[in-house]
Amino acid sequence: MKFMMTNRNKDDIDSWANMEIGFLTETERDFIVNVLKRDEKLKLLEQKRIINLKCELRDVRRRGAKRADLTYSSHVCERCNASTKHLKNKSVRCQVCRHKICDNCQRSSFEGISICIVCYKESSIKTKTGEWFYDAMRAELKPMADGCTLLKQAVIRTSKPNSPTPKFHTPEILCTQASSSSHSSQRQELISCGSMESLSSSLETPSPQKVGNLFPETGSIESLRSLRYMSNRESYFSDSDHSVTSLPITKGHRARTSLSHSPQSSPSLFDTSLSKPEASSLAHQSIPSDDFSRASAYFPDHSTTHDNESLGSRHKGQSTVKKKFLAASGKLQAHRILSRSVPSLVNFNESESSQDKSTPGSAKTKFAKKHKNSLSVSSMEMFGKIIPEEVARSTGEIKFSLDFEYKTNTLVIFIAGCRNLIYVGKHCEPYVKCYLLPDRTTKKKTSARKNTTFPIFDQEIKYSVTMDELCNRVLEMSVWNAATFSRNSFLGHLQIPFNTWKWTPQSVAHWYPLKALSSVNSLHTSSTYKGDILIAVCYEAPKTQGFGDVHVMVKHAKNLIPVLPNGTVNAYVKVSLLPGKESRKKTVVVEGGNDPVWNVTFRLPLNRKVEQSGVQVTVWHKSSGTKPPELLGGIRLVSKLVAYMTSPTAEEELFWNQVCDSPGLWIDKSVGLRALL
Amino acid sequence: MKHEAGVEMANSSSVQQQQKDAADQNFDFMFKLLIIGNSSVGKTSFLFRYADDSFTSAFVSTVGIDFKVKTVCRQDKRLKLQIWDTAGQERYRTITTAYYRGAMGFILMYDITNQDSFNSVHDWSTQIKTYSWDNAQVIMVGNKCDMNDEDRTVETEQGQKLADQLGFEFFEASAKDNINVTEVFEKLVDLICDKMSESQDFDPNIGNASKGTRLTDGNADGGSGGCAC
Repeated sequence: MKFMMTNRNKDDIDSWANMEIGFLTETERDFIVNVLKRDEKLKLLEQKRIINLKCELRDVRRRGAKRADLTYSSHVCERCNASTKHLKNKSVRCQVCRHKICDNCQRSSFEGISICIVCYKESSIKTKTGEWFYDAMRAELKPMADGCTLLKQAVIRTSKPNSPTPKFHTPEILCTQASSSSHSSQRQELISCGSMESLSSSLETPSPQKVGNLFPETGSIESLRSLRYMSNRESYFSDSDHSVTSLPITKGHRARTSLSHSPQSSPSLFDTSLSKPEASSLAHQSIPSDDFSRASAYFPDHSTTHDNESLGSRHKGQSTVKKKFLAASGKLQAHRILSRSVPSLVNFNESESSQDKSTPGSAKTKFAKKHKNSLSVSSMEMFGKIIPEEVARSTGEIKFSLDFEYKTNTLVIFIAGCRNLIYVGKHCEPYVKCYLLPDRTTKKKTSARKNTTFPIFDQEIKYSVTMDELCNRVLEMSVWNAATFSRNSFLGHLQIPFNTWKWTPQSVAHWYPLKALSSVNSLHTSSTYKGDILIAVCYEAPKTQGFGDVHVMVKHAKNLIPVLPNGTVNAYVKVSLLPGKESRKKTVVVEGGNDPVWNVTFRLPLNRKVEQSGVQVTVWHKSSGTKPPELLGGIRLVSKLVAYMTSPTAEEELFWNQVCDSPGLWIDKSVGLRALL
Repeated sequence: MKHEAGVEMANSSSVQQQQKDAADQNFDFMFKLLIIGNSSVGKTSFLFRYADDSFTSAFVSTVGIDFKVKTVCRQDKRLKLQIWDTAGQERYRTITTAYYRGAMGFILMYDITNQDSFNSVHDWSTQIKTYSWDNAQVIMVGNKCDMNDEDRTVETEQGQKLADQLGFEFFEASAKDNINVTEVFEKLVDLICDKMSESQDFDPNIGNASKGTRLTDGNADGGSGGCAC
């Protein structure tokens, strides 16, 4: 076998960017797409792990009082400001940053030298994230995309118009990947301010989806930067967004052509997914733009994933990489990245908080209220009551111990107390709430302590659970302020996955730092994969008058997140027209499993033009007894121009545009469920 | 030669283990490894033996690229290995070379009964040098060492000599008889860990730092380096 041996030159590396895979057969391509999908899932997990690590680092840093000029008083630990006068607490110099540190803030490195807790964390995170490897990579290799990214682009490029575009888990993954791109470009300024809060603040970035609407073609870094300052205006716009439901449609290609044949809607057609040539040609109209943006949305993944990971150390090369990428891929693409770069959770929080502010009679409350009521109680408890400022501030520590009694299969959580809780108001009445996630029915609370930010609870919370089961659970502890006349406010939380918990025979209560909700939990909630739903939608144009009908066939869902202790759900689907509550339909409840099949078709008569309507499909878990149902995820098929509440994902928008553009034809697709609408 | 998508050689329990491994979040480090070499030298079999402990003599050519995940323990640390299996055929070359960049370690494989595959080793190593990071670790593996001596065309000494020349570690292994398979991966992980702890050396101006204990001390042969858990 002979190779075309190549020298290390730039052309060679550039040529990768245009990987040609046209020679692959259809089956081969499908196989590769499958591999890519698996890799993507893995990457998503890895990304979450890395973000958690980064959050840890940030927390350690925040607590440390590290100063660049090393000006401290002589007998004080330069990390935690504890006095080092006593013999008990001797001070040592960190061998890396030369800060004087006390015993508590000292760690010994792999080499046995003593370094401070922050330097230790920094270096350990470098290895844990793999930065040690990618940092030292040759400069000419750095800006290149990794194999999967290139391959994805190649697959997208070569996918034939009449075959469905290979679907990756677009919404979730694009969200996380692209949001990391927004991190990195924001970072420049954040770092220049010397702020270590960059991660948290970029996590709290307001939704650029809407901002994207406001700046249709200004896809530049500047507009990305301006996003952070848009939050107020943005919530204003989202309010008015709702009342303005009949924005003019401007896209040219969606001008309705008159139809010669009346749409078929015989039941036999329902089961067949469409494969007619005209359908595909119609559908194809909008595919390229999506492919284009999809490809571009994968790109930032490369240029930022690793960048994203080092907050403190290096920033120069990255911004240029990012800029290069933006320049190369053009403004439109940049705009597209923006337009979907933030997890939908942010939207949710925004809309919730803006709803809190809005007066009862305002234009949006009706819809919002309905939406709010329909959300699961628990997620409301977690997110609904939080005012953003509080999220940013919440810190403090909690002291507790965990014990497991094997004889009785009981988990005993002893909650001693909290300290340094931060509360803005006058009287803080903290209490602690526990869940054994993912089962949200396991709420247990301590009583509240009056007028203190250093509450002592000394209370036990017990759960009857087996050890096997416990290993799959996560203990969520959150501290709340019990307010008599207003909403309870969130003070901090932490999560303990039991699969990694180190049980000790005699449990001694320890102090654990509480985290702000924004750092970890929002990521868990917004970017996690919620499953997919396969639906088919057909728009039937009006025969004589009226607006016609939309037929929605709910086929099946896959990989729903388990709610019940046995890892299954009792799922049903609600389908309704947007905007408003009209013609809401429900499927039957399919009990057990995570991949329910319904195969039901609904006819929804339109009350306005199809372009200005939309369809919302939500999947719910039917709880037993009187408990309210729990939202498992949903999709919102609607055109972006008339987005209600929150903008659709690109995938959803494309889907709806295809439906609008091909009356009488069934468009069926598997769409990734979003956590929050 | 057939190209079949999604051929599963592993039994269902190991597939479940795979999925569990893939979803497992409880690990300290993640390493990406790549197996390269001529077509039909046994890359996929080698990987299946390691990840699933299964073997089939049926030859199914890999389509482009594939991977498996395995979590191993190494000195109290849990390592997640994402092992990429590449197609040896020339037609997939554009796809496979794109994966070199992210790989921390390579297994460069040839078939001891196939002189051609051995002759290509030099070319493969040039590919690694072209497309991957300078410090990526490489282990050269002569596969199919279970074969009879009359079938063998590449002597162990030849392999060892070439490996020394190229500066790679060298093993002869057999996926079929499960010879040296785990050892190869353990050695590779050790090499990467070595590199990693080197990168952890703090500022070079630290004079009194004792550079004594490394992560892998007393473990250089990789004999006790990892356990499949």
